[in-house]
Amino acid sequence: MTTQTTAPRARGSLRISGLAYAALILVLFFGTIQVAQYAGLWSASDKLMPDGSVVQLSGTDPAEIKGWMTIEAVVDAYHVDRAALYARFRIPVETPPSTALKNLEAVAPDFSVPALRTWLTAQAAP
Amino acid sequence: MPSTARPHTPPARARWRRPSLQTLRQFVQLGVVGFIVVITGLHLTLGEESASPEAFCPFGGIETLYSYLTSGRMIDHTHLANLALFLAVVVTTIVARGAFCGWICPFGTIQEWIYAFSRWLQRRIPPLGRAMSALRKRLNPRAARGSAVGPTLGQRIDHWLSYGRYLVLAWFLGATIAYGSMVFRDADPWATLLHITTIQMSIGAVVLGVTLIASLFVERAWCRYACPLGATISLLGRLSPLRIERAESACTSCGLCTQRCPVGIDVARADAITDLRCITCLRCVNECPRPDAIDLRLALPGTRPTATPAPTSGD
Repeated sequence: MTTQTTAPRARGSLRISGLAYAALILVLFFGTIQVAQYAGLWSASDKLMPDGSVVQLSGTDPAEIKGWMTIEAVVDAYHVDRAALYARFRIPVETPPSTALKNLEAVAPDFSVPALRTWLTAQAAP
Repeated sequence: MPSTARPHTPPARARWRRPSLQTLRQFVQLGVVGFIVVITGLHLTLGEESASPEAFCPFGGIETLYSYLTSGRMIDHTHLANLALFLAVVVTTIVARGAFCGWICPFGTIQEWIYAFSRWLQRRIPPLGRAMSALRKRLNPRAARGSAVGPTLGQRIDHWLSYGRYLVLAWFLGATIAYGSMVFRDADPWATLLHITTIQMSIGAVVLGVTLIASLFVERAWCRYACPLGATISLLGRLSPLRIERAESACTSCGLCTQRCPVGIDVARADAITDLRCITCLRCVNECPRPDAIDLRLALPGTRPTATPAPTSGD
């Protein structure tokens, strides 16, 4: 006959129950996210600011340009000639100005958002 | 001829099984995957008006951290939510070791499901089951014999391949800082999976395909060999005061803990599981038939487990 034995640790470490561990994980992970949200360190969309307002182009920093923005918005904010933009990136003239930048790569192989940023920076340089 | 014996019907109390910790873990995993599915569906429907599913990956936080700290800008395709999630992962890891990987990461969960599906198939299709069993025995003879001296061939291969994720981490950190863009995104299987409806032949699609196929044979293949977030968590996890300890005196060396470990740690031959691969899923603790042979303990990082007194009697 065998006897159930236990093996208590003499000292140095404390047993943590699985349920306590599970609770600890959830509190730490989701609690930290909650704190970040309260602190304003939370935005899950390129289009919305942390306060919920829509991102607006300032027209001074091309780094702010995102793929969801339209040709029209960029042209208006940075005061560049639309025809020059179309010519530089060989965008088909029939492409409507309401097209999102991220959709341009399919019709204009020369176009990319980083390339547009570089071009706008060069345009703004004295 | 039909049997006349009365079918055995267990009493109602015996049929009900108390939900285990693993059930709770799977429930949490299911919740996180469900949340990501909803977010992805909303993004597909509403576009940029809704939250981007990529914003819910803590790895994006690592990718944009350098840019955010040095210029205050997020690199493309990352959001403040990525930074917040990465912060949450850091806090969780420093306290609770690899808990994010074992309990929350949706990509790890999907790989677990695929491997579970593979095991189900192996039970349903006997030739497949026999072939996989033969392969496992060839690579890991310990699983068949119960004990062996030294690591098996499978364990050695697994150990060496596990360094791959540190190489991936070093490559992407260097390249992200150098180029200031998400260089890893093109090869990221998770980002590819989030855009599965518009998937095209790309490096990411190939990596995703290889990962999902590999998960049929090796549990959590991506986590084991290539995940740079897992590598980061492993390194940070060294600071955690929590670890799994095995009491040699109570252990029967049945090897169940090693067999059930989803990341291939030889739990049955360790005193304290300080292996960087440990994702603290606690499967080894739950599977152990001896209640005090293995458990989760709070101890000072870097210390060795204290000796356990010899049992008064044993089996």
